[in-house]
Amino acid sequence: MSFLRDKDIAIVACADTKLVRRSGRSAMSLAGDVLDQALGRAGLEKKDVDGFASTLAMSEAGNPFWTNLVAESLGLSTSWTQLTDLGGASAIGNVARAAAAIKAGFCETVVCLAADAPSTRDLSNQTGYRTEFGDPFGYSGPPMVFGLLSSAYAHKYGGLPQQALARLAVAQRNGALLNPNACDVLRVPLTEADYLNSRMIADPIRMLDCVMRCDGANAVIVTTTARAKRLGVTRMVHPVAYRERTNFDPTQEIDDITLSGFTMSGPEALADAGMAPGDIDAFYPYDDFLIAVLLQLEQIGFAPPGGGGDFVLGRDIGIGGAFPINTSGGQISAGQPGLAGGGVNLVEAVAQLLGQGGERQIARARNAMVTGIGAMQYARNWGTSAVLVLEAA
Amino acid sequence: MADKALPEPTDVSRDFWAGAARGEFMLQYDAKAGRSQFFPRPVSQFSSGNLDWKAATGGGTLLAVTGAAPLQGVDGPGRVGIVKLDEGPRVFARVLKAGPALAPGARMRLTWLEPQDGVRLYAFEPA
Repeated sequence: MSFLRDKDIAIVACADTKLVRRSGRSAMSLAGDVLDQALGRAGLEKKDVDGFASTLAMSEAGNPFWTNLVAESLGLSTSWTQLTDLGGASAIGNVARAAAAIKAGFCETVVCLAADAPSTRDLSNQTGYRTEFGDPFGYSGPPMVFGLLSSAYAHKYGGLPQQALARLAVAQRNGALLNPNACDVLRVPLTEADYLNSRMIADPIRMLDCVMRCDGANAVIVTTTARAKRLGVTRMVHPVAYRERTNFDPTQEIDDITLSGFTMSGPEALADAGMAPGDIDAFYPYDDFLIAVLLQLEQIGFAPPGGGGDFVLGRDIGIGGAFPINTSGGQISAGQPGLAGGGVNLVEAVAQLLGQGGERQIARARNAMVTGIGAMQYARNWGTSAVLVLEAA
Repeated sequence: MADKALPEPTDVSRDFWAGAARGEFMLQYDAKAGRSQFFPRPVSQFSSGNLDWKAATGGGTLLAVTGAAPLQGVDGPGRVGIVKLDEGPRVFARVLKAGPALAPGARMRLTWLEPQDGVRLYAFEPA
């Protein structure tokens, strides 16, 4: 499935709104802002867009026609429309779906847009085992799940790499300090001691391990490389590999609940890209919890099992470092705009590869890996593990 | 005392909750594959075979444990965990009577909370 290797698909623009805690705004209003920005940067008009990929919004859950309503409200008329409900994997999933749709001839230029305002209004309602076999038995939300995963990890490897988690927390926070679009409440300096002393939420998960929900929107514009060149675009980003895995190990053959679909999608995406882990210039892992970053480093193949902590401590993961991670703060330090959260690190990776990193620009940005995590499953790991590899043109 | 709203049985889970009312933890058993599953699902995860209901013995091994709000009316710290039943499936539930040293790998046994509005919720405690 190396359908992207020929580099005939290009991302020509990215945009995101300021992330705001309890903005009082609607997802639709945020979507309008980000669409205008993205089109402006691409030098395109609405009439030039013939494809639209969106994600669900917690703040609009219950509306069975959300994507249609957004298209109508924003003035997009499309020959291909897609709603992706893979949670935090939706944003990168949409890049791959847009590429496939373009290659299949459905459309030529796609806006992949995600907007959500869950800190202003959350209408989501997860039915199924969550309300029947989760909530009545003490389930209190994602921090508890990551507390359980961390407990299993610590048992397997004789403890958690606290120092590495602290290093990650600080490195990402330093990115947020340079990111005017990060949530203002998170744009305060953080020390490793702050992390290590932060309040325990679900042992061993601390307050500063967790994302904070906020409101925001982000978008990328995907088209053919040929059209990008016709438009006079000189800097573009090619998606060169994408893999996703949903419902890893459905028959529960593996008792180690720390293992996820990244053990499949990570190596697969690297093979599709013709790359080894050491070829990746910058890493943009989905970060709803810091421990998820370590698990991905290990399961994608950057570090051996149990070696994620040593990997982080063994190199500079900051903006000026040899292996930058989540340079705009990640969701942990910029904020998680609900189901648009998967776009936070995607937009930063694209901006870096386009040379639009501003104060945060990394020196070596020939390629980047962006990941997505979607949903939590019953008594095990997360549901979707998605990996996108990008290359600068 | 339940944490939140009591479960509402569905057409798929009705037999499980009927078993719970009797104090039996019912697993869906796929005789063709020789394996059991939990939570209740409309089809087998293992084969295209039929599903029967079979009571679990209640023994299992703790895979993970973390903190939770204390359970009202029950002494001890609030803990939840994931237990792998001896029959194979994993179960998420409250962990009662957990000492500070309780860690993954511990042997556990199923227990039942006081019925509430006719519904009995399960939990685990060290075996």
